[in-house]
Amino acid sequence: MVFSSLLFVFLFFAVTMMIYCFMDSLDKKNIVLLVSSLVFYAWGGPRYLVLLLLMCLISWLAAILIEDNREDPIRKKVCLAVGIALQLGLLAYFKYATFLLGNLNHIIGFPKNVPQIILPIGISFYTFQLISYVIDVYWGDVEAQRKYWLVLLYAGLFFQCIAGPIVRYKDVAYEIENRKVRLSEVGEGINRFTIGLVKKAVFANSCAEIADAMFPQKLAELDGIPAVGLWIGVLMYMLQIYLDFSAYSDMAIGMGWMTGFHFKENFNYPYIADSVTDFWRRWHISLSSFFRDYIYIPLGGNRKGQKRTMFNLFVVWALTGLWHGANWNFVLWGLFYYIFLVIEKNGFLDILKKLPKAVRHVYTLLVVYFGWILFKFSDMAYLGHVLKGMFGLNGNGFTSMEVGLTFENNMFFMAAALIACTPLLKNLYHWGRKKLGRVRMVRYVYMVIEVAGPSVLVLIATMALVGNSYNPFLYFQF
Amino acid sequence: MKQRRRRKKKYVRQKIYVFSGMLVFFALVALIIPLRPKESAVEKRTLAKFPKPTLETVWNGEFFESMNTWYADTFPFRDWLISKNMKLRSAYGVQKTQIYGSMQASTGDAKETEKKEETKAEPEEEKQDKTMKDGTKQREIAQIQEQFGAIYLAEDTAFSLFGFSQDVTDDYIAAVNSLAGKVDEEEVKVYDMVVPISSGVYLDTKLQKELGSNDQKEAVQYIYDHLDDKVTTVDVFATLENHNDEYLYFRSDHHWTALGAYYAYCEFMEIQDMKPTPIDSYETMTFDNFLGTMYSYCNQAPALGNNPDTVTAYIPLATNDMQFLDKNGTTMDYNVITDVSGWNSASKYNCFIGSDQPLAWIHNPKKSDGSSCLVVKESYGNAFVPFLVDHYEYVYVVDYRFYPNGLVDLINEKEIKNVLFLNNVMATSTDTLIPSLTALVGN
Repeated sequence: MVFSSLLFVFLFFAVTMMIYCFMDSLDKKNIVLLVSSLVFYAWGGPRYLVLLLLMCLISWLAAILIEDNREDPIRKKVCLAVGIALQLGLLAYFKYATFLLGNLNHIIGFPKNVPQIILPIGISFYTFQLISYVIDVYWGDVEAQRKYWLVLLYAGLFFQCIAGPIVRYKDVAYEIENRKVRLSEVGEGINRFTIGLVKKAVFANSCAEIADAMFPQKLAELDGIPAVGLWIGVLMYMLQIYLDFSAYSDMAIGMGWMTGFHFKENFNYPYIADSVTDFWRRWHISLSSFFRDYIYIPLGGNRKGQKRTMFNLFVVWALTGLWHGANWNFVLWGLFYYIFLVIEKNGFLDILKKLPKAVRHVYTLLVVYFGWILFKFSDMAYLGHVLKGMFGLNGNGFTSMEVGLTFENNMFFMAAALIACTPLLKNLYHWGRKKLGRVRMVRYVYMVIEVAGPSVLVLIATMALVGNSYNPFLYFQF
Repeated sequence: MKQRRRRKKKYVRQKIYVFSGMLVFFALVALIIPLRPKESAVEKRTLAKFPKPTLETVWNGEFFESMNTWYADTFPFRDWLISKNMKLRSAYGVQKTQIYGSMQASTGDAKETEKKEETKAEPEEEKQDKTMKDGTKQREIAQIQEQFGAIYLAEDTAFSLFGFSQDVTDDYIAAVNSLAGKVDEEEVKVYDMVVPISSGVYLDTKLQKELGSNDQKEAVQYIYDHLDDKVTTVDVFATLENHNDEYLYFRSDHHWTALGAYYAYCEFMEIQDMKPTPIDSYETMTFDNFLGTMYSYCNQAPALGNNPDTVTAYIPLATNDMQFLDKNGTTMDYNVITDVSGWNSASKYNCFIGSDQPLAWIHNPKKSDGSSCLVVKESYGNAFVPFLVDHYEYVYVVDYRFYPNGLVDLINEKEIKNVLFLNNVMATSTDTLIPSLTALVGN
């Protein structure tokens, strides 16, 4: 099930929340969340539920064994190693086996038949959550959870289980067993949830339509698109990815607030970043901080000299790329960022700081923009094709009537989508309330927006979702 | 200060109430199964059905996936919600001229894109069966659809763009030639009329090219050049172009109007040295508020919706009675021009000759010279056939998509003297249509 489906919003979410509200103790509330999460997860095929249960079992056991052997460093280490190895092994099998064997087949001709393994939904997200949990217990940052079902609730909670954010156990450990709901936070949660819903159902989906037409996946279709079309197509793809993915996080965070959980922010307007370094502080924060805390720093971070730092960064970025998908283009995409981050780390950042703001933004956005082209294609030939096409070298000319019309037909929407990627509207809203809040009329307007706004947004999203039955979230493949 | 904070909190409470209330309301409405539509009039398709669970589909998740689709596809007030959404989307930009569907479809590698669009092309046959008088049972018919490539919407007029396919066109030519070779040249005259679609008549050549629409005149010429000498070609391009300031094609539908068909009919008469009936001597029926196939295809563009088409039909002087063999093989009495004013706004083109039936025939009681004409057509022929009624004792109409028997047998059996292939140029390049024609003619 995806968040942006009518079935989710008007059946699953509505029913779950209703039952949740009527439960009088936290234990019961947790049971409601657990059961609904299992149903949610099983929706994509109950067979994968077995995997989720197994993964949680491994983490639960590993964490308890680590804690029980806290005084014995060797045993403790063994427990950690076995626990992590099992988790990574399962992840590797389900996510990377096809890719690895495919490459082997390519190089040495063995094995002859590469098995096609279907990626279980959300495995990349919940595996990382479970790994962070075990490591945090090992480090003594948090106590092991003795109740299996609460570990399952942590990893399988439908808010974040299948598309992030990657929540750390230590961040929610206390809240799982002792959380209080504040009315104002429920209100904020509703805002966040409905904004996310519209972001996906209206903005991301419409961007996707334009991107699919101007920046299609198939070579035959790509062939006929003139330069300007490709530039617009990539831009729309860039907006789509952010709006889509951050919408999911918005909805997860919003549902968290409604039930008393406080997840960390996963995005902080990445497209207003003024350097690539800054971009990665704002983009998919829960993933980059995972790699920072569990790979980069344990490897020595930047404390072991220049060379080692570069190596550590290399590992982190190759893995970041690989996490996004089992394909070389994702690795390349990770390393593409590695190069820019290294350049920035080695003095370019200081130069940047002296440049005008606009230049810094344009530079950052261009890097990110071209990054998304790498991200889209698993076939290198396509990549070359697109890049050539963007500079008019495919013989399709500069623009065409279709491109002109697409732009004309959608120009207001495109502008709105761009604005939706910035904090402009949010700031304007708060600024307005602060400056003009004393004016009676304005106060009424704000009151109406506050009270009715979320419901109107749901209505708009419903309109957009009806007739749009097939509507998967992009980040599912990861 | 304290008061303000309290008031702010009050808003929160109200917000939560409004939001929960709306959510519960929608959740309940969505659970009222009778409110769920079964088919969509505007999209012209049957909506998803609730899936039947089997052990396998439940285990691999297919069942749940289909349930998702069903829930969304048959959401209560679906059509209303969709049309509101279209309204909202018309604010996306300046949408005076638009293109629907991929332009790549009309240039070269057309197959894949066209297939996707298949389901949207024509009204479901079921619907017209339903309205039939004697209430014969419906049957599911294998749908063979006419197709659109891309559609160009300029102001209040939609134009379907043309994609030429040489392979398919060659098959078309071969089929017509094959028939001409199978009948006695002395006894049976074979005619071929390839009708342009609106973009070829209304849009100037340069614009057509920019839109990626192939040259229809060239396509027609290609066909005529390759037809056997035994086949008399009827060129209607020039006459339609001469009248292109008139209402020859619908703005919201891919068909031509009866007026367009009339000019083609005049041309056909002239070739046979016969005199066409002056148009003002017919009695007419008019049906307003026609929103055809392209209206649904263009996501119910308001530019079309606010300016619906009008169908004018000309009733033959001799008779308005006809008969047809329906898809179940039942013979039905019907009217050449049927009053469709009570039908839904998408079905107004069905007023002509009972729409697309496998075989239809009209006996002209005022003639007894044994003259006859067979029209082999897809739906473009429907508006044309009524004009022929006055000129032959028998007019036969075969829709090659649905007629199950051989054409030669029919010609022999009915002693048909004239055979007219009347096809729109789009059909002659459509790979899902022409094989039926080939099969009908036989090799």
